[in-house]
Amino acid sequence: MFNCRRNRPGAAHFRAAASCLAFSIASANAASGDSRAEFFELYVRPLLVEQCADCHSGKSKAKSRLFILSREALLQGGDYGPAILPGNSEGSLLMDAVRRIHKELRMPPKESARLPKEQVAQLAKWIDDGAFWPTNGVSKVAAAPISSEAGEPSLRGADHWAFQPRRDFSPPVVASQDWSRSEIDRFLARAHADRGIEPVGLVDRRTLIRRATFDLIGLPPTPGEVDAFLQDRADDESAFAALIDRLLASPHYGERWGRHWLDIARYADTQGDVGDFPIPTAYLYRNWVIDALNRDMPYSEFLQRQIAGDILAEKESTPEAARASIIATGFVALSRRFGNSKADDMHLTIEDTLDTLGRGVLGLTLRCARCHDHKFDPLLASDYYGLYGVFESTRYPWMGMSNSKSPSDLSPGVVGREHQEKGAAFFDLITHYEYQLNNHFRPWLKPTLDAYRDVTRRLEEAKKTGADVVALKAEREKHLKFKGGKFRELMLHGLGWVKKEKQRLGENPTYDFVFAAAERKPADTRVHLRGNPRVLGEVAPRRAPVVLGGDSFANAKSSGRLELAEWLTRDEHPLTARVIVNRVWALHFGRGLVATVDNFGHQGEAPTHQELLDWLANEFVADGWSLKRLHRRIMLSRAYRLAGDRVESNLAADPDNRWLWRFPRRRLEAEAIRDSMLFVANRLDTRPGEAHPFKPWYVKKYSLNGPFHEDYPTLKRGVYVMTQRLFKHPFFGLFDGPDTSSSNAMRRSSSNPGQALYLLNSEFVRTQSLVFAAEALRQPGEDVDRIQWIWRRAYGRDAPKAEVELAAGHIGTYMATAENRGHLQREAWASLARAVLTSNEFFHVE
Amino acid sequence: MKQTRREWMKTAALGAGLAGLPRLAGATQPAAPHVPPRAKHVIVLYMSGGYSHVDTFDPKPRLTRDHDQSIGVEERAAVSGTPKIERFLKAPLWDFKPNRHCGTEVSDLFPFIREQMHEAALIRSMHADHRDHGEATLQLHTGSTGFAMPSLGAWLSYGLGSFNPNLPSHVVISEHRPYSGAQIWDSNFLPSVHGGVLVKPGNDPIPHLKSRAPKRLQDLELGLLQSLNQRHLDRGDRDPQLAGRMSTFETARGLRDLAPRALDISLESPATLALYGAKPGDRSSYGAQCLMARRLIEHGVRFVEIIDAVGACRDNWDAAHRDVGTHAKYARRVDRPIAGLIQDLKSRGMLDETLLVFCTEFGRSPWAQDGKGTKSRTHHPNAFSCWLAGGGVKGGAVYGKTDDIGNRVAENPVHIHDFHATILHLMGLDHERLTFRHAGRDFRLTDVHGRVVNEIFA
Repeated sequence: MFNCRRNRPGAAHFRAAASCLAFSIASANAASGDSRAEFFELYVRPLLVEQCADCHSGKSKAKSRLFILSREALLQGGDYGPAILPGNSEGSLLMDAVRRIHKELRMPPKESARLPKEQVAQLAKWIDDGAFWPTNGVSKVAAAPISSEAGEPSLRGADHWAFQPRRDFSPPVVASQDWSRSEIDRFLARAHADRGIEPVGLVDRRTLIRRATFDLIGLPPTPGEVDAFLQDRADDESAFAALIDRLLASPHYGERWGRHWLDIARYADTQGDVGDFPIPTAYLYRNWVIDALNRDMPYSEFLQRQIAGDILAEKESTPEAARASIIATGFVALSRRFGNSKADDMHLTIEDTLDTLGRGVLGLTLRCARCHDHKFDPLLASDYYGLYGVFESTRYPWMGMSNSKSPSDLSPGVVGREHQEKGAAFFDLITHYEYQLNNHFRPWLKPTLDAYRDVTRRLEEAKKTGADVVALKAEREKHLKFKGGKFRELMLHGLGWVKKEKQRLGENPTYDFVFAAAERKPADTRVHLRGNPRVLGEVAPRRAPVVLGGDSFANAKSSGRLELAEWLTRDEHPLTARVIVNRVWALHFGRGLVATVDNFGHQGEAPTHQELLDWLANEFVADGWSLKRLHRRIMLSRAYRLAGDRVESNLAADPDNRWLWRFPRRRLEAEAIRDSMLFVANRLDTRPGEAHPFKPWYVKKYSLNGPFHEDYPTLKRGVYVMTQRLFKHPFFGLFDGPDTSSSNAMRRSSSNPGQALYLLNSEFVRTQSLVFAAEALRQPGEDVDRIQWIWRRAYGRDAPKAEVELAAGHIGTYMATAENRGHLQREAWASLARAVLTSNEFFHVE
Repeated sequence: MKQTRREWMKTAALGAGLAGLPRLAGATQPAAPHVPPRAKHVIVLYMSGGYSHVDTFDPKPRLTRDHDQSIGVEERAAVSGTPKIERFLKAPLWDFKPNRHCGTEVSDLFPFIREQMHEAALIRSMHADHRDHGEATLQLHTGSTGFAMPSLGAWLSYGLGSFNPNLPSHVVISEHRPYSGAQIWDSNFLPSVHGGVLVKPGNDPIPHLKSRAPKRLQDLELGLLQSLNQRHLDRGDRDPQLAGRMSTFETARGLRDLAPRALDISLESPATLALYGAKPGDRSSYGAQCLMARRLIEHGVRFVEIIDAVGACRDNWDAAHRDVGTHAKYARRVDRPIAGLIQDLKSRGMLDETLLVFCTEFGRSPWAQDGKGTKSRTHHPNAFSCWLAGGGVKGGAVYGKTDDIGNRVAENPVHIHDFHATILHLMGLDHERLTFRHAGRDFRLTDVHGRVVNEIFA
């Protein structure tokens, strides 16, 4: 800290003094071996021994992998690379550390122990003089053995419940008749009894159909559906079972629950790099997910195809099925991209793959083991890099990046090596032209272009005059081979031709390419020490985490994705089934049996009903991993049909409803709010979504300064709205829509004034209100009938007298207050409609 | 046992809810700080594109002396991706002169700000981790160069709340889209109420603020909505969440009525306008934006950032492959307004409780980017200069030093994480205790880094 008054004249002097000191030492010690040895023994060795050797001891348990007492060890360095560059103190890491200007390394660690300036200068001089080290000194000891962290790997905490095999629990016998009818209820009832909690009674049919309809298809029931359910003469359970079956068979089921999966898969239609390049075929993966859920594809197969669908496609009998299986790997391919060039931040993209696989599917924060062994869970850095190797052996597609704007590595969508090669050749050619377009103006290219032009001219002349052309041709050929022929076409045909040719290729692709993962030359990777991809540690063979069995995925011929997918979906896998069953439960009840749905590790919450969780997972696996059966099982429980009543004693004992003594009220998700507004106004387009109207990649390019940013309005369901990673959607961003950057746990449901302003003043809500009002005004009868029509459509119930009066009163006052007489009736009714569409009752499911 | 911030917020929210207060989940109410706060408000003046430290706040006579001299190729770059080129030193284009009171040297690019440097603590040893705008801008705002994280303003809002329930606690004034877009004021995993509300200088500053219907009619509609919601609330279990949502419509009404006034600089005297270099009727100049910032904090907003992303980042401080001389244009735009802001805050007695942060994402290379004698300077995260002024800051101080050409930090480095820790501390928050549980662990603005630079505290 310098006060600037003192600092101003002082600074320059001080610098001069410091360099003087360095200079005087240098001149006092000529650079002979003797004097260098003397200098070393006098200043350097004592300094290293006293200040550094305690931690940099070279022992296996040393705090640092850097061993400080041999020249070789310093040259080899520690985690950050060589500690010294003999002859170059300025470039030596050791100097950055003792000068305390390195971001992480500041040595000695304690600020109070910082080396005096003279000692720093002595070290610098020693390095600048070549880092002389007497040969009769301390023996040459290599750096400490490399492990992912210093010391033995730790599997502490491996006895944690989530890593143990599922157990077989039989549902307990409970006294209550009501709570004995389903196995789920028996588990829950015992927990109620243990805690002295008296659950509330059942909910009425009208509330139940609204609850179940939103839950399974994300839309409100129509008045007709409500009436039919109310009038169903079957007993409550049978009527409800029939309702569930109808909803599960609706194509809207896949749209609703597909969206839930897309949250986990951090789906978006763009890459997330600085230009946020759009991915025109991402929607194929989205639609595959929706379709798979509608067909009730077993969850095990659902996962396998998303991880290794391209490999599984080889066994498919039809090209359509093979293509679908390849598209499924969008789960991997849609990992987020970073930065502005394809290769630079691949470790972050793979980190996103592993984070999605970890939290999304395994319920583990695998990502925490990227820089070091996991601090809380028995996950080693070598576990992380064991999985990393699988995806480093996988080819990720690109739509382009700011620095190389053409797509590459897209999949032809057909099985067969020759197609892969042909597809790769197509993109190689595009990349070849792209490179010429990106670099044709570079100063370093100009001399070659000029020389080429010159020799071409001379060649033409020579041809005319009949002079010898052999030497000229050879010279011309030499220029064409500049940089391995990277500019050949530019020279031969000119810039315009290259542009046109690239455009022509773009318009006539050799295949109907898709954004999918593919195999690449398989290899194990090395641990990135401290997560730094430039500082590599030992080889981490491709395998499962040790705590989960450590099964090998190393396959000389393939990435190991198929092995990973099969391991993940083995019936006895301790996590996969538990995690998905818990997620489905959480989406039905607003809270998981494990509340932290994406973290089953030590930092996650313990399960409230562990026996029930295992029982559900066992049944789920026994049912052939059927999600629809799981929904049915859960929704037919008594717990799902409970009312939402408030009971003070229960509230005091269990304010968070952990023991499920009532059904919790929940705000609708962003998509459900939007879709419902459109639906009640009769505006929702219920057809499946298709491709987005992106401009073709060969027409429009993106960069840091000009990123892709569009909002394609549509009347289709929210799941089909184009979503970007870099830009939040104006509606979904405001109403707690999905995080499109990383795998989502549970949606939040915040309320804030920004939302209120949107609901009051936005064009979107205004339009729906006007249309809703116009529809109401078209209804036959009196105003009271129109008010009833609005209530039934929006709330699924009739308006009691007080509310009819409230609504009619509003219309009257509004019309009396307004000055502008044009469209007055419509505006008044739209105002009523908007109040209904933005009300708490419309926004919540009971 | 001491409560963590998270627990505190939770109880506060619960308390507010159970008492039936019609207020939003406690999130916008002022909260208790960790350490005695030295300032209550922050105004960040972010210069987008990376101004050259050696042409502005960090005088290096050697650059003038050794202009066009080569210092060779850099052996080992501090930040990866740095191109290996022969480096020819480049003299600054402007002269440096000392401030009359404290002597801090600032170049002629900022004659007005120079006159106020005795109110500011200048840090000449800033450094960051990335040499691209997008990543570096993200880091300056969120601490992270890659994965999106909550922004500084969002963390402050989360930690401290707002003084005025009718206004957001976190406001960002940005005419154009900056590098990394809305990510730099996003709340990310923090509750969305903490995300920055974007004000676009001009006629329609806040989206959806204006009612299409006359206020009277909108108030009628709000009355109906209130009645419907009240009936719903009474029918059910008096859920505080429902009451909280009802109150947001009241806040929206307050915002509708209050925000235009808070942003209306036509209410300022001609003398004040002149101090900021703003003209009557002007709603979008940089001076007007500085005035809006002052008016917003007067109305109780915690955190205001003015992002000077001129020309949507196509025409800003970035002097890569461009003439550094263009700096003059951008400096002229902000110099007088910022000096005016400092003087205005001081004369109103607000400077003591307002922290001003003048910053950029990285510096500029001391050598010419495109070879000997060329006009450009490249991105330079190794070393740059930023300053803090006002609330709790030691005026006239200079902290940290670069080497004799401004290439690397030579003394007392201040990383972006340290910078953030320092700002939080001045606001009364301990950067190690301001945490939020997300995706299985507690997150901090400063990750696992950060040192409070208390040497610059008054």
